[in-house]
Amino acid sequence: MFRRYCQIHSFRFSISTHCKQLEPGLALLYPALSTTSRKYCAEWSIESKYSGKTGAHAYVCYENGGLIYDTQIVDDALDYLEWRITTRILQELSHFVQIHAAGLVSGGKALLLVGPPGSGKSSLAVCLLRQGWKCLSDEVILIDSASGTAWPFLRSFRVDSKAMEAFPEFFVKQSGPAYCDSKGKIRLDPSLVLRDWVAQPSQPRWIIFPGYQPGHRGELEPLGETEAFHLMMSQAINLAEHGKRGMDTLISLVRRFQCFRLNTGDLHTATSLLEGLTEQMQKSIYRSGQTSGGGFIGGGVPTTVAGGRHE
Amino acid sequence: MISKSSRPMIREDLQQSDLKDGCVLYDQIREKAYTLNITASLIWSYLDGAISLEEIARELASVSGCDTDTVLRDIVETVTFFRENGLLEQGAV
Repeated sequence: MFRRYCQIHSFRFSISTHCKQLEPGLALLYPALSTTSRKYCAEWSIESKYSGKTGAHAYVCYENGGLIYDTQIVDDALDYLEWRITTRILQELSHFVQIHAAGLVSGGKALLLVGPPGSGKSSLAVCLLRQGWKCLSDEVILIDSASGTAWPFLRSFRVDSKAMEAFPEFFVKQSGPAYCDSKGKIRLDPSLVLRDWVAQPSQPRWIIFPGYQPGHRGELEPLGETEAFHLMMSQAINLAEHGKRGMDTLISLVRRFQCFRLNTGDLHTATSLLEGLTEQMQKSIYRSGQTSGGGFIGGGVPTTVAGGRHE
Repeated sequence: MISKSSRPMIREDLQQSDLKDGCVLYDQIREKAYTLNITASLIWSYLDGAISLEEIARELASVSGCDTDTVLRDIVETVTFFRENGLLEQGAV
């Protein structure tokens, strides 16, 4: 039997299966949340059932012992289970302002890639992990209203299968069947890209809105506060629960940090542009005399990035 | 009906946060937020119930150098949006 105990903040849960065939897929869901503690307050399991009458296999999902879903398609079953668990985790963590965003960290500062599912966040996250960035999430970022800190929401990446063609080495590393979700996206364990991939909670510094434009030469276009806020608000998951305080959290983010629209037609250019942001930051630190410790503290904010000007 | 002689007034209970190039309005009753670009927020700032849209148009046209009729048309369109979204005091139009 496979069983994994998981913890994110104070929420503990377990996922399990008796079915050997389902183990690799289940093991891929939340690899970084694994804990040795055996306490949990919610339990999900998935089993394979064979019907002698029809001669067909069914994959059955259970939540706290009760049947919640059954299907004959294994990808659908795992997909449903992940959706159910993720929804519950987000409910448990509703004290955070939750945003559809990937979060990558370099030099102690977070870059948020804000956009709807399918906007290329996960593919860019893989590219930046390859460059040594650490990761908060490929899909949901948790913002603490009081401090503005971005907290991790760790799960396996879901990468577009077309984008995965750019990383054939990870297909080889990922043993067993290539587990896809029902939309054909591939679940990828980020530790295959970077062994020590998990980032600590970090203050954001850059907010990027990816916009895939085939054939575009690639640019980071500075965004005004109003447009950046509007885009952030459209990707907020639980803003209604937070009301004015949630709005103020987003306003604070767009006021304090550099916001750009990333117009690009390919991952390589996008990665170079984003890497350029950290180089600008390092130069600023050097110019302001902060060559070690402490991180960057205002004052020397770069004004030009990839030819654009951020006012 | 919004017309050039209308003297709309903004709802005082709306919470406004100014940004460098616009503002955010938060309607606590409906739990809805609105982002206004710099032009819309400028128009918003005039709506005190005392000044007519025609007077606002004349003032903005003299500052921007644009044609008064064009400015008035934009103002009426913007204020209509405010009214349709319940952002103005009832009966003040």
